[in-house]
Amino acid sequence: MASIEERITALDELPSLSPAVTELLSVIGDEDVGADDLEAIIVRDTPLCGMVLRAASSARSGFSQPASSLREGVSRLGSQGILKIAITQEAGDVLGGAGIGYGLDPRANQDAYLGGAIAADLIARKTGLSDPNTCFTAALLRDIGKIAMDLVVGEEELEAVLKQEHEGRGQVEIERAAFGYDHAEAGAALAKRWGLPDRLVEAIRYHHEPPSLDVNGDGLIDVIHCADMICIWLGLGAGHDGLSYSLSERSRQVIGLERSSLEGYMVAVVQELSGTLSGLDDMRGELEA
Amino acid sequence: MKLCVGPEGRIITHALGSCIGLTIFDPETQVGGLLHFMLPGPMREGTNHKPFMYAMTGIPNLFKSAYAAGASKGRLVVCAAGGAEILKEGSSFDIGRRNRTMMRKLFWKSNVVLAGEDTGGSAARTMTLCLQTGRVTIKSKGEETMLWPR
Repeated sequence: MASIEERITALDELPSLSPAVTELLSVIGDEDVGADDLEAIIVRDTPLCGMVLRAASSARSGFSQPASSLREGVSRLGSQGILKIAITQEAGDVLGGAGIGYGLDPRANQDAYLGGAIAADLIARKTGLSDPNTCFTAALLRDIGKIAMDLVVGEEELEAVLKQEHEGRGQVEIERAAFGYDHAEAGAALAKRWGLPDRLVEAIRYHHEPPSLDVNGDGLIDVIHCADMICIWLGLGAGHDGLSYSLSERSRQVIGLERSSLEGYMVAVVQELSGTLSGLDDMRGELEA
Repeated sequence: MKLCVGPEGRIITHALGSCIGLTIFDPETQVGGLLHFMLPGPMREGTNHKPFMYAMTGIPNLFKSAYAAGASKGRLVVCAAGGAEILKEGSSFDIGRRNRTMMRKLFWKSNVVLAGEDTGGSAARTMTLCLQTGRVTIKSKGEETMLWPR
């Protein structure tokens, strides 16, 4: 039986990230990257230029005067702010149509990837375990495997399997039994194909089943796993797979997730998601006007 | 929470996980409402900025708003869906179960009987209230079922 990596390689058409976003992801956390380098990446992507300028001129982002140039926009937002804008927009384009076999529509997808990214960012800031921007990006991309599963397995076959009674089995177990791999493995294979950094590939691979040993020692995978579980509790992006996932006790302990902190995160995610969606709608409206 | 008066339209809440969707409908005045609450109650008193996120505050508010719009308690058809659980967890968060328990406690105290209920398990659900007929439907795993009338 062909591996998931071989199956993805054999596909004729595969959604991909834009060159600008791939380049931005490759320089994430690189202290040697300056405003010149960022401007050189952004200037080649016209829609991204527009988004950077609008965000850097927006009262919602706290700016009272419009940015007069791309350089000024880059300086105002910083590398992490730019990456956040670019990856959020890119996720909409790439992930919007994903997960059809899982019973997801673009709205449910958007709630899931943005909700997870917001949850991961909140957890990282509260615990200080891992870089919040890396957590935001990893959580945003955690379910790209659902794109791959739609393409490799086929939406109808996938749906037929996922709609069966689970009988207490987890989603990951069901997918592995039916197809030989699950969507987290498929996501990691796709992330490698896209050339994403290894840490993002690992976070995508293990977001449902964190390993017993954190080899990187920064809790990134634990943050992404708990952020994903918060979305599952909230029903964000819940499709045919529903709530058929388990919380890792080790990750819960690493994050220090207790009843009060969990409920605090749930409330904060719903409130912040609502604000983010309004902001995105405003930005898309302005770009289309 | 959403409350409407009139014979047209539907109120929908998508993808209920451990949250609970609660519909009320008065067939005579066609007052209908839907509350989507996330948690049984606020963690600490005084932090309840969003009352409709919680059963403790959202449910009384939903009923009060319906009465103010002309609904009568004796005629209200009340249905609930959601309150699902994740497969297993090392801790005892039990959000779905605690949501169900709080809702039932409030209804028991207020003498409210559910006309239709689809709660628990591990499936996500979408709940729809039709304001013309009061019909309540649940969509889960791509299949739609009628919760009220049965």
